[in-house]
Amino acid sequence: MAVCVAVIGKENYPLFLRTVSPEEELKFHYTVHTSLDVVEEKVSSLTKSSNDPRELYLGLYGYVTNTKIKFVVMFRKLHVAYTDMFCNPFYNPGENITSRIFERTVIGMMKQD
Amino acid sequence: MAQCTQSAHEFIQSAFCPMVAVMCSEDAEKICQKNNLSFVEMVRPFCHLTSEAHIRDPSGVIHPVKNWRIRLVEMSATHPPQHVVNKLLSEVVSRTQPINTDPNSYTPEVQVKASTPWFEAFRDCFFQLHADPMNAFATMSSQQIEQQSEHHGHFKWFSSTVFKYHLLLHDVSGGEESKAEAVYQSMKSVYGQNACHLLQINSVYHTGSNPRPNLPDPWSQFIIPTGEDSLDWDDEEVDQDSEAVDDDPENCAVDENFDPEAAVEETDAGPGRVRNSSAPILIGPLTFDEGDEPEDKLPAKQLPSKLNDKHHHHLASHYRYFSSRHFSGGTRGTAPQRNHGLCLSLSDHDRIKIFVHELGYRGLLQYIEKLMRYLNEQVTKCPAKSKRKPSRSNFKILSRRGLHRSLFSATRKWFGGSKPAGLASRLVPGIIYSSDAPELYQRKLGDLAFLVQNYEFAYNCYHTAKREFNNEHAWFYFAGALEMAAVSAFMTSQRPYPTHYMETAIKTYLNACRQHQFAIRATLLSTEALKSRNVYLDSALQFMRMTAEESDLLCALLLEQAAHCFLHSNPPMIRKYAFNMILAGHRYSKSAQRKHSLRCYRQALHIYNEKSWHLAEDHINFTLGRQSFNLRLLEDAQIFFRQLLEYESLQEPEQQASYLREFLFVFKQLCDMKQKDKSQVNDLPVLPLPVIQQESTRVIPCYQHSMLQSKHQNERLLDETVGVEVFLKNPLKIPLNLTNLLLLWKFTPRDQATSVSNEVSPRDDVVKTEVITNFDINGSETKAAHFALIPCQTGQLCITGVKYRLSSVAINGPIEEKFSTPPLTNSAMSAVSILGRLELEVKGPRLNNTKAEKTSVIHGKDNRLNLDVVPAMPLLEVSFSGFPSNLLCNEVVQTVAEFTNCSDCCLEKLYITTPNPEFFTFGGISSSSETNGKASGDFPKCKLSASDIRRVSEVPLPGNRLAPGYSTKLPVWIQGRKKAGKSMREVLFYYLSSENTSPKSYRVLQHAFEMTTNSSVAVRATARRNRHSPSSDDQNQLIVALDVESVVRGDIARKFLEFSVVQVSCASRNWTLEPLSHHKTGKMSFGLADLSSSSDDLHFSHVCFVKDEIPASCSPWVDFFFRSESWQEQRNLAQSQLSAETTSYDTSQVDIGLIVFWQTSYIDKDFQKQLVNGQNHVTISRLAETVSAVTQAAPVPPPESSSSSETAWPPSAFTGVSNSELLVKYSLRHPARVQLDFNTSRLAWVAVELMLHNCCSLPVDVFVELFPRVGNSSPSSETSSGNTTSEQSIAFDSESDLSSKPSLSSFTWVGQTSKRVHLESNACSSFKFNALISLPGVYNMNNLRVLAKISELHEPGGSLILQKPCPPSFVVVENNFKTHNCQKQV
Repeated sequence: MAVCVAVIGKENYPLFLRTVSPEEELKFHYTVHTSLDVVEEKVSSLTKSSNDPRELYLGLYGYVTNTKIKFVVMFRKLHVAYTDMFCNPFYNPGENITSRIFERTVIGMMKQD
Repeated sequence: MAQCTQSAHEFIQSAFCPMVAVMCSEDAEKICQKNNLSFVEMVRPFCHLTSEAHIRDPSGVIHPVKNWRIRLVEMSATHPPQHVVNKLLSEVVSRTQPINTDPNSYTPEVQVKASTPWFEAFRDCFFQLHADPMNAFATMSSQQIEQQSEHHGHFKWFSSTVFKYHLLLHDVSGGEESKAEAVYQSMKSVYGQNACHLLQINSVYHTGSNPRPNLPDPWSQFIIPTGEDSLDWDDEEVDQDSEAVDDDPENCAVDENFDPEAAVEETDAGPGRVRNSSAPILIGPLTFDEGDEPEDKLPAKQLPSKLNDKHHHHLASHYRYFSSRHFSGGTRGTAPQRNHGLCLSLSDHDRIKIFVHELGYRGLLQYIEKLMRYLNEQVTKCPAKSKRKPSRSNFKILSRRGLHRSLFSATRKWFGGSKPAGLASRLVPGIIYSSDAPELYQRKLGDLAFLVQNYEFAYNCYHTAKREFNNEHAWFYFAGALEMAAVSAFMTSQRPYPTHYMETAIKTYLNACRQHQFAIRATLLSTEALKSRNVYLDSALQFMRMTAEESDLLCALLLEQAAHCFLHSNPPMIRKYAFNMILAGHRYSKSAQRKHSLRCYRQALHIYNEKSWHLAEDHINFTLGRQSFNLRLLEDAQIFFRQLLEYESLQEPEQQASYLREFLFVFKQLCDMKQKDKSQVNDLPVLPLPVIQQESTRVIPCYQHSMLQSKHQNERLLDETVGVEVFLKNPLKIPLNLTNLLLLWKFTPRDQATSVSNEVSPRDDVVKTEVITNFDINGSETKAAHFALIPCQTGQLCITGVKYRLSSVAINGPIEEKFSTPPLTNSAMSAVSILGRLELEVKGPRLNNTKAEKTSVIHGKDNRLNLDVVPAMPLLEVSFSGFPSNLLCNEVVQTVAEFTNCSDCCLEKLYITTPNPEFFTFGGISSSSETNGKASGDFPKCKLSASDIRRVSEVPLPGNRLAPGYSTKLPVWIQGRKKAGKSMREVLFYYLSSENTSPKSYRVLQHAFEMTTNSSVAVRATARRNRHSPSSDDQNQLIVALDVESVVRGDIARKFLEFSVVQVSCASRNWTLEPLSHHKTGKMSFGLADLSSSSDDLHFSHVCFVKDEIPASCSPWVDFFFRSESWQEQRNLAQSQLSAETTSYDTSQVDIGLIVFWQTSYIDKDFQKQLVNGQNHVTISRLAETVSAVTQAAPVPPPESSSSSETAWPPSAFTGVSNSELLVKYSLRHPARVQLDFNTSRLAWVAVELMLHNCCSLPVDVFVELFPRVGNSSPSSETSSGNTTSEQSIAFDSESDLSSKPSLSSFTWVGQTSKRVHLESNACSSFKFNALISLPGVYNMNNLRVLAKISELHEPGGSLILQKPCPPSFVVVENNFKTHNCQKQV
């Protein structure tokens, strides 16, 4: 499904990044980093405009093809996996994510076709 | 898009300005060449008209024209082919480099304000080379240049009615003015007033030796492309480039075309010139040598006439040759000075200005006005004409006409030259109009309006033309009209910018016409417009749309501009900026623009740096390293490669290994280069690997045990090793191989200001430095390296760093096997190794005193690596030969200690100290007492004071000193501990130098032994009074019972089967030892005789069981005795007695120290019998007599042993002590057997002698009382008296009651029955009593009691105390006659 899943820290540094093919990892590093501009724009516009802080979806999960077919991706599974990982008392917030369960979830998400 | 020096309006105006073709006669050119300038060059600086003119538009409205520009072009300056264009563009870009090369300027903050001159240069160049077709319409005048009487045919270019302007050049210095005037007049009459001009130049006669620096030089900015600084850089760089890429023909070609050196010299000539980096282009197209070759290939039909062309060509090539020589080599070798325009005075400049003004405003502007009016008429006359006509037929007709006219017009060349080699016509779908086609009138009208800055009118024209072209599907013209409409809309600055016009134009160019060049031009115009309207994101998108181009250079430039657009957008998209920069850098590198590539990557690095995007960061760093290396910027390259190694990177080990190899390779090249320059040979490079853990660094005290003690901790001795421990950490996953590690130091000799260092050459004469030849650190390992230094001079030694050689040898080994990298690639790199250094920078503890220190992190100074080398001290080495580690308890072993002075100084005052002085002795300490003892005879004595054993003792060195290099052997006796088990024995040798001037420093040598002791024998001893003195009556004797028990266990018991006591010695002040008996059971009894003379002297007496007596009073045996706990006990006692002597005396106390020598043996491995000796010490301090309990409890029981407190107590307190029963010893002496014939005599007479012995050192009053009658059957009286309770008198009474029973068979004391005597101390006295016995029987003669007290003199008020009775003393009285009966009776 996905070719690359990345978790980016608060200060825009990578916490976790997995790609389907490791050879392309550098490329995705660049791509993900560059896309942060868009994310940042969305985040800043969100905080400016909306009063509801619980509206956390950035609108990136939707994709419309030129034939007006819409793709919608929900990130619940990833978020649950992240929350589970975060509940680990041995995890310091801000560290790189090394959890194997989290990694397995992410790889599972990527391999789902 | 970056900031540009030109505003958008200026840029568009300069991009679209009237072009004037110049044709110059040979003679005119010659005149101009006097200034080293061609005519076009000469006039060019003055082509910008600053004054304002007015023009009437077709409707008659007056319209102002400001800042008009005219571009003069050589008529022969043909359009170069595409590949040349590309080369030229690339050359322009590569030559234009940022002036500020400071890496700090690459931050995005700075880049927001930065300009990209190379882009502007490119753009300008692009516009000049790709002169667009619309603009070509504007090139409508040719000039005929006449000189003197020569006339040339003039060329009609743009249309049938080309405007011609005729200029007559007059050389003031050479020609006659009247003749020129005459020619001018005739010209005017022929060509008309407004189309002729007389230009007088060369009014200065230039000798060539007198340059006038004060004159402004308007040509400078046109000739010199860029500033001096960047040019300097360029120069090097171009040279390097040509070196580095020898096989690149493009670079070579470019290099030939442009000689930067000449340009530099040009720059140097005029210091006051304005250098405008944004106008660098003139030189490019004009000096393009290859320009005439492609001209030949042009189709003949495009050339106006063979003859003219040939002539023209000749002229042009001649000129070019000349000018190129001028620019490339003309000034070489001469002093840098301005050498152009020298013949032109200021008035000449003004005249040229006037000429251009005349040409522009009088001639051209009026012509344009006329032409516009004509065109407008045409358009309004038949507006629907072109609409009605079918486009196809129209094309045919017009093209025929066009062909016909092109025979005498070069317009076609300008028109078609803009398209790549005429291919355009085949590719372009749609219609090609001829240049005079009426369909183009509208468009031409627009062009003219645009040129004269009537943008509103132009927009309307373009708009109309656009619609017409669209209807006729003339896509190429449609796109052009759209583009120009958008541009003129932008220029009106009243209309909104029609973005969609431009979008459509670009799309049309791209898709319908396949005219990429035009698409690019449209993009450049559009983005500039968008930029000035602050629509940066759209601008970026337009740039990025064009990056699908095959030209890497173009893509790179556009990507870079796109990146800048992202940076300028709000909010700034710095990541997109960075990413686009990386892409641009990639394309730059593909188009061989290495410097630009490098710059782009560096700009991107600022975004990615230290943001944990390691993979990207590594990639950028690696690319930067490679690029820098290719540019021979080795210094930079090594910095970038260093970045890859310095943190704990997540890269694969294989990748790390290759990084390291590259780094080493680059670094080596850098070092080689530096060495070649001999610039920084004294400076060792700092290497990134491994990492020193600075805080763990320490100076190890010494390799030896010897330590120097002084006030200053950092003092080190001359000629002695200083050890330094440095922890090295390898952050990589690959092993590192370091070779030839050594410490770097700086040494300042005493009394000298200059310091020496071993950075370059090993200075072993100053400080000997140990070299570690090989040091491997595994991946992610931290390892300590131990270094050694030996200072050879006194002074300050400062350890500054570590020098070593880092090589990739080790990397290849294991890595190769692991990853099976091809050996070929490694073999080239494998030998790479780098000599470098690491700094040792230790920080002190963090300071926290002042406020400033608390708020910031300030570390104190740390001097741990600053050593003070002081003069040499003696150095002692002590070795023990055969030091025993396993001993039996109390075993005594002799070993030899060897003292060696290893230094060059004499050693003295050697002391040894230990917390356990009892375990060893050097002997000899009591040697004096030994001699004394021998002299005094049988009882060797020694003073108590001599036996004072302190923890510090002097080692008996011969002469009390040890000369340098000498060694002395001394015997040492070791005694095993009393208790079994393991124990540590520590000794410390202390000594001084006999030479050292500073008395404060001394040295110590520490040594520690571990000893294991196994239990051997236990000795116990008791002493009691001898009441049965066998021989000498008055001797006070004690009987000592000695228990010796073997307590060996386990294996030791099997090893040592038997222990034998070889000698018992006694050390006492009062007693001597005598043999009494010897039982095999392990119990021994000895008699002790009282020495009458009690003194301070200690007497030794021995009882030996073997042949050779051990002189126990001599060292070392006596040493152990004196060091033993037993002796301590005995001595304390003796001292307390001595101090308490005057007041009291404890009669139960004795001071007997016994030394029991024992021997055992075992069979060793060689079946040799090995003797083991030992000595045990035991003290008898109290007699083992039974005494009554204390009668009166003292208020506080005084501690007997404490002599100091005893004096404080009243004497009465002492009397209550039980030992007062032992003041007097008494015994009875009488015949054991009395035979009497009771038949003959009724009474037997027995004489009893009472021996009294004062055991006390004080005089004693004794009262002896004999009991009146005692039955002979009362042997129990002894026991009863022994059982007497505290109620002594009562007990006595009751006993006496019992014994007072009338009995016939009793004996009676006769005569004096009581006696009071005074006994001096230790005195003896005897009394005789008589007893009468009436019956035969056994009688206990001990029927008396002795009371004693210390005499009144010494202890007044004391009461008499019953003394301890002696055992019963029996006498057998026999009836001599009736023995049998008597026995029966008993």
